[in-house]
Amino acid sequence: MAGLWLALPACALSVAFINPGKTDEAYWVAAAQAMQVSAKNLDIELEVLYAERNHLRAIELARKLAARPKESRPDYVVFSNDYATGAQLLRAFDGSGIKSFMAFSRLTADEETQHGTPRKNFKDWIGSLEPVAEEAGYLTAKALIQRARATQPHGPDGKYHLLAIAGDRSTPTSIKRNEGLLRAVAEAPDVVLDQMIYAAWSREKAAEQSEWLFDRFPGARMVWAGSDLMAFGAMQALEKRGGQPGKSVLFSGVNTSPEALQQIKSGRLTSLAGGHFIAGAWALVMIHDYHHGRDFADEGLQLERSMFVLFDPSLAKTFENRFGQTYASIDFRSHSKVQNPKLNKYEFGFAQLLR
Amino acid sequence: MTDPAPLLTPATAGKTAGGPFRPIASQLIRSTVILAMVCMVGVFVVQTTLAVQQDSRQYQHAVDDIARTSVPLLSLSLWDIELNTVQHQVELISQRPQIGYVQVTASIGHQFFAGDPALKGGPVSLRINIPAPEGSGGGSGTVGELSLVGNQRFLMEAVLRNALSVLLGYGIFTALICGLIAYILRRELQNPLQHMAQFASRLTPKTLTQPLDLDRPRRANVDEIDLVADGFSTLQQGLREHIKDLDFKVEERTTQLKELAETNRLLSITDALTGCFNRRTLDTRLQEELGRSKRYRRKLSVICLDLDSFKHINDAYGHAAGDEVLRSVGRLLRNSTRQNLDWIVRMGGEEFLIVQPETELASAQAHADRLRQQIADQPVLYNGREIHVTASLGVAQWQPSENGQALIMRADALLYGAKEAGRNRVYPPVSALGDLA
Repeated sequence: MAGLWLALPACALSVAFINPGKTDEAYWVAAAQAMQVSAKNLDIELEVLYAERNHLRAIELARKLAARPKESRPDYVVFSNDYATGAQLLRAFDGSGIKSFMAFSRLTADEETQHGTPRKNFKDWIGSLEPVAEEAGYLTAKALIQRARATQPHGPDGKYHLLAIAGDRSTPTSIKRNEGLLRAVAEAPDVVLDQMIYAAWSREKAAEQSEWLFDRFPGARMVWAGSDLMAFGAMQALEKRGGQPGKSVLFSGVNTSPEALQQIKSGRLTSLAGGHFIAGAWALVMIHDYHHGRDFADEGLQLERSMFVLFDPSLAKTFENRFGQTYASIDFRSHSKVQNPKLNKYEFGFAQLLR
Repeated sequence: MTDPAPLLTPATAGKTAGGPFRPIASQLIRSTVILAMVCMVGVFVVQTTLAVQQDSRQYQHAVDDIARTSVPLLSLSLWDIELNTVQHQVELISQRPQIGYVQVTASIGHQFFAGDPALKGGPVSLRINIPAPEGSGGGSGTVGELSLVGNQRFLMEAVLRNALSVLLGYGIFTALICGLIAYILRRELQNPLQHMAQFASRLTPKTLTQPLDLDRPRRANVDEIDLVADGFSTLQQGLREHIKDLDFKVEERTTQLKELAETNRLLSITDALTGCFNRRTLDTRLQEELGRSKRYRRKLSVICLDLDSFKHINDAYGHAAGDEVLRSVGRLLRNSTRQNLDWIVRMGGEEFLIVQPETELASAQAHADRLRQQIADQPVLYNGREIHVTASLGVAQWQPSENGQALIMRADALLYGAKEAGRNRVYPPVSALGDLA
């Protein structure tokens, strides 16, 4: 194995990442940036392709990649099951010689029964890595509820009313975040979820829908959002009708965008979970190790790791200080089993990076 | 359905009816077309009225269906605040041809609309509440209201389409029926009638025997046309017989007239009692006779005869006996002269003149004497009694320089010479022939 690894450096490992987000979308830009750092650490040639939140474009990108001439074709491709495009992307790469790795979102249980798990129906699908998405929903909701109990008056029915702005109905991480929220609500008998709507991760749509929601449920004191942008949209709607985010209504969000961190510090945002953008960077570590003969099959083909951190103002400050400009301070080599043969279990969290 | 050019001259036909000529078939066709039109209009009105009702019902159903099928999705979209989906749904509804304008008013006041803005204020066909979706936590409340303004134009178009198809269908049907009727009328009625009219107009007494041939196809039954044709034939037969009868009668009458004219002529020139020419015919006849003799250079003699003592006979035996004597003498004279050549005139009373063309005096004298002899020898029988009669005669031969009157006067003078000389004699006497010549 060692001999083989020594023979390879001349021919650098190449990976393409089909980024489902937009080029101006903080979360997905951060994810790509972290992957670039990881790729540089591990001597990987990384190409990032943005689907701009258009699932048809994602499939189109995959087909183009697969159709490339052999020499310019990447060795691996990383993509997410956002908008349930995973299975179609797997099919696009099947037989092209490009190995697939699913990061951020894996197939849902239903999809797996239909398309199988890695290395079964699709031989070149080597595995997946996913943050425990449910955590994000649960942690933020829990914190939101605690703050409401402490600062907000309850409704005439003696309960705290909550509104939820979810992402979409098909992306597994979105579904899991919602499940986390629902778990937190179920644990709190004094909280009522008035309605959950889907704003398609859009700030504008969330703002528009929130206007309706506030009209429909004027007694709601909490807004849980599946992302930072949707939380900002809801705040905008609240301010438009004279409310004060963080005071008259409490908000929660997900993602470590600079704006989100700023809002945590200012108190407009009550709770924020983030850090999972790192999943793509960790995925490259797994691919690197796999490529160099250290398969992750012993840990499982589909890994799920807790990558969410619940931010408070001080932790937000720490994050900004450490990763404000770049993620270059993270040493991804130290997490590679190939680089560290003694390492037996991947420590793919995020919290430890802030310590 | 154009009127065939009238084969008869409309002028002659018009005289009888008092208006311009119009074939009976075209009149029937015109009436048929008008009736068919009236029926068509009736059917059209009834059918269109029914169609309007049905279309309106269907239209209302369609609108109801659209509303019912749209409400669940609208309900979900409104509840989930999927505003693009709501707008999209509203636009989809507005694209239905039955719908003119759609408006969804959310419970919080937001409005979605699509369709023809001109219909916005129109009468709302349907207005229903959009309930919150079941199990949404929205309870039994409503999330909005759906208002549909129907597209009256669609309904009108449906009605119009319906009406047009009815009109077109019945129009074609009516045109076909009228066309067929026109064809049959022309074949069965107009052509034979015109044929008969032409035939009748050409009929003259000379062509009366020519039969009417309608050239109609053979058929099992007899119709009015055949009856009229038979009537023609009967009329022709009757006319033929009538004309024949007339010819016979005319001939008969003409004969009678001729006979009558002859009788009249004879009466006018003869003396009724004796059958001799009367005095009136003498001048013209004698003039002709003298002209003829002059032209052919022939001799002509006249004999004047007067019965002797006739007054005595009348007195002795009565006038009837006198008449009988005159009749008898006339008969004798006629029988004793040359037929078709000599002619006798009763000059009046008991005097007669015998004109003898191509006769010279001597033979006239001889003849006169024979006549005297015969009269004297044969007494006239009257009522069983014999009446003896004698006559005196003067004979003169016509001199070429002499006119008729002079000739007769000369013969008359000779007759009186004979009377003077003792009656019952001829003057000049036969023996004195040579002296007189």
